[in-house]
Amino acid sequence: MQESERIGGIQRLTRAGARLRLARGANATLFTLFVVGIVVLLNVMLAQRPLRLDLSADKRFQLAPQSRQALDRLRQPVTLYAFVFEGTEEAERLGDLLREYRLASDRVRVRMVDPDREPTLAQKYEVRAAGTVVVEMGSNYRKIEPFNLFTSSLYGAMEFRGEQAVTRALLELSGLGGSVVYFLEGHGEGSPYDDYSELRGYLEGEGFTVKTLNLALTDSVPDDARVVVVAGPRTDLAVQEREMLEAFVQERGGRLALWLDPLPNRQLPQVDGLLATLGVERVPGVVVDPGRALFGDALSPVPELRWHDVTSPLIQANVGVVLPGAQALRAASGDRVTALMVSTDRAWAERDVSGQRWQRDGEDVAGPLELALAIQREEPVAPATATSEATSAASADEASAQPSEGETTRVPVAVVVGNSTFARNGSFAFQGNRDFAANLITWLAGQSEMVTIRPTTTPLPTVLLTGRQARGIFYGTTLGMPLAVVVAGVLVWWRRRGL
Amino acid sequence: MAVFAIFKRELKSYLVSPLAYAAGVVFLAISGYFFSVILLATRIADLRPYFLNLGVILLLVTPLLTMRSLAEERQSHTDELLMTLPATPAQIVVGKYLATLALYAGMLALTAVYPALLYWLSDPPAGPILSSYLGALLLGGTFLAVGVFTSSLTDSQMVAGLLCFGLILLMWVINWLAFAMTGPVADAARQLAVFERFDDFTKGLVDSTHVLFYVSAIAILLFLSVRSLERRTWM
Repeated sequence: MQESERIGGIQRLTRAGARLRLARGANATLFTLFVVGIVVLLNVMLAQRPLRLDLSADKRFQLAPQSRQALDRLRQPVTLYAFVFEGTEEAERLGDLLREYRLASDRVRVRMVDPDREPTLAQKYEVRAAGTVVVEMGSNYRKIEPFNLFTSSLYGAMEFRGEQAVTRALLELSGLGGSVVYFLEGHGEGSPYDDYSELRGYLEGEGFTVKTLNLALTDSVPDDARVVVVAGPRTDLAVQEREMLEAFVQERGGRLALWLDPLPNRQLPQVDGLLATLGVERVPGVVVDPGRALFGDALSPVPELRWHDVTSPLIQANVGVVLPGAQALRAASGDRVTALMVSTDRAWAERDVSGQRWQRDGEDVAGPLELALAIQREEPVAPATATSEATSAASADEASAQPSEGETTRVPVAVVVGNSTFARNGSFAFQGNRDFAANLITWLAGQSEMVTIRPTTTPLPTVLLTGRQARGIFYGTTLGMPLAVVVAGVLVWWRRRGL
Repeated sequence: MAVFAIFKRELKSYLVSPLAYAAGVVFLAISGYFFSVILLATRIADLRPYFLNLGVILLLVTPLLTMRSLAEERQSHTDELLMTLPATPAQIVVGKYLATLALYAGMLALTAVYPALLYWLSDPPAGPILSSYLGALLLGGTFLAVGVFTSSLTDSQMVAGLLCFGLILLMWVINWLAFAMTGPVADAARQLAVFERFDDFTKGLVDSTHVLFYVSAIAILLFLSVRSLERRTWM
């Protein structure tokens, strides 16, 4: 009896021990899960408001004040799509940039889309190339092409203009920015949907809205017009059309881009009249410049650029602008007109275009000839608040640098170029043509004042190595340093052996 | 104080063991090869490509550094002796972890020769180099914590090393799920990807979210090691 009681007691103890172990095990597991859960929760909570220190050389992890203001003005959610392939340079740069927008505003959602994996989404926005960004707000969207984001043509190293482009698109979709550029039609001008489609794509990527305008079907230039481009008219304007354009410039502060080709034996009195109000006249004939021309073709001059806001980036980059079949111009009046491009003194304006041989004779005007002119006018300085909301917001930083009341400032009025081919699709990509076309419209629109976000270049400090230095670095780091560790190990072993 | 005593004892034993020197040689030889070959091929004074390859080196070196940490004590039955010390399991784990971290930090400090060479030859921006070193310390620290944890699970150093290697490899490739899937699984995989976060450090960004992630991962792994050690006392 006692024996069986003892066995029963042992069994009870064993069961109690097992229960105890089970209970302790369960407790320990619960405690572990609890601690891990707390840590995960802490991570999730603190991820909402991260503290960030940007030590990058190109300051890529911070947005410009203009971008933050544009985000503050968002009234509805925005989705930023980047159509990129994982692991590429574009994916990295765009991913970093768009993440900054997402962190800066609760209204921004970012989606990195692989166009191969989600082709329907790519088709929806008509994305044709990887590296495209789409900014979508409600039912509207703005597409930014890769060449508006990454440029490498002018400065050697790649320039990233992503922030500029995305912020402009945000301003435009919010109805706060984006000047409207009208291309005049009805006189045989080039169309922004055909001849100038590359320029249109570029301008849209820069935040402009491009439209066409037939003045014969309206009674004035539309109210939203900032710049009217007259790109290579083949026939003259009607009197009313000329008057509408003059009123647009003189009464409403509108800006004109006139790109005029030589039209031998054709009179354009209304165009000439419009030019006269700008202080410009056309020089009859086609420019022949044996001194500076594309591959020796004297009829395709590559004129010298004169220093101006429009041309200075091209001069710094040492690139030219080719004007195939150019019309010479002449500044008729005063200091309002600045020459942007001048031919060499070997050039002349050939009046006789019927002959096979181009020869300068008595009636031809001799070089140097002016081929592009910028026209400005003096205006009293407007208070910073008088301009549009977006302009005042974007230039808030520059407000302190503005001159005091009563002073005047020079504002752009027109740019007249003696050629319309330079910005057409076939010539657009040549050296500085694209930048000249885009710069002159940006300058006219005053857009450079609206969003002055500096494009970023990734500095790549290069190294010049002699053969000896290269060998020294290779053997020193690959063999020398590990060998030093081996020697240290042997020394320690030796000392311990002696102990 | 107990943590410091264990740290000192552990570090001393590391400095007289051939394993630490072997790890140092492997680390510096592969590091030096990556650094010099990338520099000679690109001729650009940039340490980022080297740091982006650091993961491979850590994958090899971390198991070497940590596999003996707790497993050796168990194998040689000195863990029972360890338990009699006036130190808690937490102090033992932290002390041993800090010793491996100090050894790794020492190896990383030797690579300061690379930026010194770059400054001698050119003028690279300092910001990304500093943030890369901070990131390398956190990334390596996390891997070492993985090693200490796997070492607490078994009494075989070999098994501990293999487990450590496997776990780090898994942490490395977990974000591949994000390429293969969409939705919450992909998001979670992206969050857990240790190298994606390290990438930001190499670009020059120090983000509190990333720092907290690594510190949390280290804390959780060390906590699990302590639990594993404590488990032996009541099993």
